[in-house]
Amino acid sequence: MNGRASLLLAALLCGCATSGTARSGLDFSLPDLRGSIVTPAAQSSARVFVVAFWATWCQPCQQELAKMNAMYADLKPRGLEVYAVSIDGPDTAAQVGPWVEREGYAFPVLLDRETQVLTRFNPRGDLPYYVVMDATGKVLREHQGYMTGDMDDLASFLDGVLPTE
Amino acid sequence: MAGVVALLLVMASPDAARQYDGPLEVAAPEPTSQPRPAPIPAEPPRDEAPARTPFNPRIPSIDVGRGAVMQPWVRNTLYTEWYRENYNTEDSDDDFVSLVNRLNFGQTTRTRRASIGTQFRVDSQNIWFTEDRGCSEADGTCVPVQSDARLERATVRVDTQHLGATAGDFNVNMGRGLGLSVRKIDEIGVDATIKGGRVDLKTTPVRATAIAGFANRQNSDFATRQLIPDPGYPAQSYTFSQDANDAGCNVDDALDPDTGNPLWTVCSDFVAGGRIESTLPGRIDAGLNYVYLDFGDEITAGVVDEYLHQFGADVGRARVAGVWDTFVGGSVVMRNPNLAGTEFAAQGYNGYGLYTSNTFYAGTTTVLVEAKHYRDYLMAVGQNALLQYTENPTLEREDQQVPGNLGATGGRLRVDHTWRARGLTVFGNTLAYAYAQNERQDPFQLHDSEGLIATHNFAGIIYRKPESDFVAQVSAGYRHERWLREPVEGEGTLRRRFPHAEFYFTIPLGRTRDLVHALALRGEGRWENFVTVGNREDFFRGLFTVGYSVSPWFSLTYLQGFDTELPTPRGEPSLTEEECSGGLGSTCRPHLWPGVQAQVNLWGSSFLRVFAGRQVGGRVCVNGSCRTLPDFEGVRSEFVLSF
Repeated sequence: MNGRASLLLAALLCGCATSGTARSGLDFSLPDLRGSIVTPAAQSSARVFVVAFWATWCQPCQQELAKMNAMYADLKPRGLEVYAVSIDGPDTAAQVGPWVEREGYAFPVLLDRETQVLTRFNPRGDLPYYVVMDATGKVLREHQGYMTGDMDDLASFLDGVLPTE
Repeated sequence: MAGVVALLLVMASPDAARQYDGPLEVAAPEPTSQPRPAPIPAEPPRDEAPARTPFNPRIPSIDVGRGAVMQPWVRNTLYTEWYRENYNTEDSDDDFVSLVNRLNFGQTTRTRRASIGTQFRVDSQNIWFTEDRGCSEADGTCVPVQSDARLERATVRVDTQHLGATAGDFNVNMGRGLGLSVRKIDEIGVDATIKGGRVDLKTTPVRATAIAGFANRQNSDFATRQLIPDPGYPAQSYTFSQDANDAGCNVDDALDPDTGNPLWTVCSDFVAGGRIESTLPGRIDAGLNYVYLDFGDEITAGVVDEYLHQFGADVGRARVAGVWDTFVGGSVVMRNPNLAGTEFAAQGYNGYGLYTSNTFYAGTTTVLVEAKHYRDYLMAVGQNALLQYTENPTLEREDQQVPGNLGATGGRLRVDHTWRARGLTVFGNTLAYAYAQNERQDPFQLHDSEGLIATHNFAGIIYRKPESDFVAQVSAGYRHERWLREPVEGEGTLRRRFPHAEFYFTIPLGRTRDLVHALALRGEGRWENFVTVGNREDFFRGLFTVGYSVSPWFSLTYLQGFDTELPTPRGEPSLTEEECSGGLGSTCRPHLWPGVQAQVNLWGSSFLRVFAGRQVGGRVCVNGSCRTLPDFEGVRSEFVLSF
């Protein structure tokens, strides 16, 4: 290996090309609907993150995200960031974009086509499933399933952990 | 320590999860002069009023020095089950009790520049038959339901900003499923990985992935509790080693020759490949992938080794002119090129797959157009293999059986429109494709009666009352499958047809203190007409559920399934005039499938769920959880602990 290649490898390994550094649960990278690679850890202004896993064929997920969208508008000014991660497989992947457009989600939607990120957080793979993390990537709360009223519970939780305006 | 105390409190009383108000792993960043494992957000702290300290059942993180912090985690699922009857033709897999455990545990350690994760999964199952099975294990007449314990998954992962490396189990999906696709589709369906090594390059101009390893499928099958070997196990030979002993696949010396070594995956199908993709000028995403697959199971076992090469390419662009998303992908499979010109030449052939999706946006109206064209597009050793290695899009709905997808040509159109202010969406879908049911068949080769055509039209509405939790969704459609050949006298061309309808309602009932009460109603049914040679069946199949939930703690659901395909056994309520004249499974099956399910949420994603009764197989969403359930009669409890 020549010197230039060694330098390149070292730069890749240490990840020191930019100022971004690993933030535990937030250090995953996934494409968004426009093909851009998004790394939540690089979102430096948020104080609390919600990563919500869903799929177009999961009806409870749709209810959960609709309520989360309304909650997001209220709590974003206090430092909340939400990432909706679709695990739609090849059969339904083409429906993700239309679905998001119609629903008008204000938060970013990412694509976990390999379910790699889902299984990092939830090896069982149940849907819907969300995880709440602080700015360091530490998991504060996780929740599986959706029942009417669950978003009220989450809103109450976030109200407690987000700084007041 | 606080976390441990909290955990003990909660284990003593579920209500403690809401009462515990002690110190915990709090969200708010705290100032420190020590090197931090992760950066404090660049934005200066706002007015941080003391945050409430809600209960957090996670294991406390551990400072391992040099600024690194380790977060251990455990997620355990314990199934206690009584499999009374599964309505197949076998008796030796009925009436047993099982205690099945899935222990997932691991840790994530974060340093300033990397994240190091380890993840393990230990599966165990203990089986007790309540009566003599009426079979002989020595003669091999028993269905292989037996006790077992194994290290099902083991993964070590290192991620930096631009590079990722994995040793052990991982999922992979290339090129919208046309390339290699080995992933967790469902907890109880296909749950497979590649066990080996994976390297990911994650830079802005170029993303690349390289993989190599052996196919690893969850060996304990949820539907039957049978032990199923990994795909291709035990391998007869590999291209790189024609001698099974040299390849380490001498199963006589393996710890468990039936289902593979319980400590590691070896001697199954070998997979290697890679993908490189880049965003080109004009925001065009392009990708290339290559896969080499060396089969363990071989039709020409002991004579020649069987393998394949797959080459794929795809290109896509989001929002062309602001209104059009497009994707086009194609792959070629070269199966057994070494057999050309030999007596096994029939096992050497090429297949290909082409797929495109196009979405057009006009405000809140979207139009989706998809098309597929597949010929002999098969990656697995056969179309009935447990792991197919590809997921070439079917264009079908998630709940639809797909009669044939390795040789198919067709397309679909879906139009949706939403009135956001009213919370109303309407949609319509039409699809049609010609297909062949078996390998090496051309759907348009009419004289051999190989080709069929499927059409499916459905439409529906979704209403979500603004500022409310009320949801109503109703859809209905009609599916028709027929032979493309000329009608055969007395039989016609019909293969299968059915109208179907679905509904889903969520009705909030009110709030008492911190509890939200709601009702969920769901139903789906189809009236099917299915024709086989000399036989025509008309039957109804459906599932209706009524659920009552008290968020965030509890739900209770009654499920009522119907299936009139076969006469019901004597003594069972019958919805038709047919009488059962034979045994269960092949000629008789219940018409009514009642069941009750209760779930108690403990904390986080820990819960206890109990089901008792009968359940028809298929995808079921009940009060917030979607699962694909097998045919089942008995009692099943599921206790999930996560911390």
